[in-house]
Amino acid sequence: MSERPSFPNSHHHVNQAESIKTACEEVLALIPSYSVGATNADETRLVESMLPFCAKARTELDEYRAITDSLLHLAPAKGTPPPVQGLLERVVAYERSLEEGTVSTHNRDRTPPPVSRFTQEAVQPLVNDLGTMPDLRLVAREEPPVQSDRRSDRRNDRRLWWLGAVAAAVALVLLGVNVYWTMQFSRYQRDQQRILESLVTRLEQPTTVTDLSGVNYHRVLNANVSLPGELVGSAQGIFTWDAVPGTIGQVGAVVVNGLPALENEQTYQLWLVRDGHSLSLGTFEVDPNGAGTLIFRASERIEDFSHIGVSIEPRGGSTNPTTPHLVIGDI
Amino acid sequence: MTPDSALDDLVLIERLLDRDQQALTILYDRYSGAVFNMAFYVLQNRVAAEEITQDVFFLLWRTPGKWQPDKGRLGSWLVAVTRYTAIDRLRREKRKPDSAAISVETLAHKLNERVSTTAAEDADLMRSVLRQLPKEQAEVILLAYYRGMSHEEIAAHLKIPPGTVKSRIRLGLAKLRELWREAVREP
Repeated sequence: MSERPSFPNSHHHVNQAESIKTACEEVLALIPSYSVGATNADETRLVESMLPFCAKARTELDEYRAITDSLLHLAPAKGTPPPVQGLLERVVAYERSLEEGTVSTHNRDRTPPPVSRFTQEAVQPLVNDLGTMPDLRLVAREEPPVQSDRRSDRRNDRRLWWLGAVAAAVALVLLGVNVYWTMQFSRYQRDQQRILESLVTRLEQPTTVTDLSGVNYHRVLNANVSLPGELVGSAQGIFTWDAVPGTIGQVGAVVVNGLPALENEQTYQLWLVRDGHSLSLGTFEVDPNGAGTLIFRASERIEDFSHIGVSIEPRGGSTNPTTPHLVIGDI
Repeated sequence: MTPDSALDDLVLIERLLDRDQQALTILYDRYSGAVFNMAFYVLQNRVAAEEITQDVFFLLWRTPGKWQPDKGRLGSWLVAVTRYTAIDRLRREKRKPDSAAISVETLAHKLNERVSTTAAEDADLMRSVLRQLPKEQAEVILLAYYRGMSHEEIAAHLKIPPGTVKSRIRLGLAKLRELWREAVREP
């Protein structure tokens, strides 16, 4: 087992490390603005994608968030809130729609009134109020409770009937889904095998990777690989997946080259990453040439995640990444 | 009978899970003031603030399990959800009509992933600390935090370069952090 894999093209890897360092410095400079929500979409994306690699920026962000969260309670009192009756009417209508099976979570059809634009009149109070902000302590008020809306026996009977009907419908749907998935999964396995064979062939000819007939989505991975304290090489690969119409689950495959061989008790694990949340897609091994493949089934929509990551984990895999991602790519 | 004021938020949330409207009323009495104030502060419009207030409590009714007690107090969580919701409303009105809005549920979920909401009791301290900041620094921080304005928007609004906005935010927050540390250290 190689303790320190050697890679060609080390000059290129040094440049990659410099790029990460530069990006982390940029992220660090953006942290104050990010913590108060002043970064634009591109800056926000940069910060969120690079944070896993920038320890100093993460520490800085934690410190600023401790401060900015304290701003939550500074809003000055501006009169009384609306009476609870409107809310209760909305709640009653919502509950009724649940019982009738016509759920409407937004049972208002009126057009909301426009709010103040960024005029000086609208903005000035922010600063002016600094001097006169009243106490905003959250104190419970002693007022008689509103009469509770107790359900009648008849209403309970109706609810039970509906629950029974819904349970029967759900059972039927589940049966249908089960049959459907049994058939679909066989097809997906065949499709993925075809995709995998296609990808492996194309990886051997790196200049033709863009021709991926039959694959709904694919991302080319081309990233530096670093182990703690050192940059050890670069990895190339393809991450591909098929949307499954009408379902949340998706199937796909990843084929990578250039990953260092691991110790016996270690394995590579593939992750989908979003806002610090990681979803495992499974573990895979690499051959002595650093090539590995994995066919996976994702339980959530892959397009809802921002990144793909590969980390080194103990054999059998981990619930969450325990080491920094070696390879990361945008989705 | 237990007075409403003595009922723990957690107990009330459990009662919400049982669809108890009286529990919702008690929570509304308890927190609607803070929620409304935040909404009004962001939107500067009473009708819109009332709608956001109702939206936030309606969210609580539909999905009381979204609040995670280990992440912060209910009052802080509701105010934080209100801020996100109100800023989202501001941003939607600035965009084209076909822009996709982020749902309240998504915002609440996003918040739960990271929120470390502090106690409302910290507000007085923060208020006094904030007053010590140079006005131009406090201004850009508040515009970003309560109006959801980006560097570029603040720069256009104040007619100053975006770089100046960035540096004011950076200097302001650094100063705020320093003052906060000093204030917390003091007995």
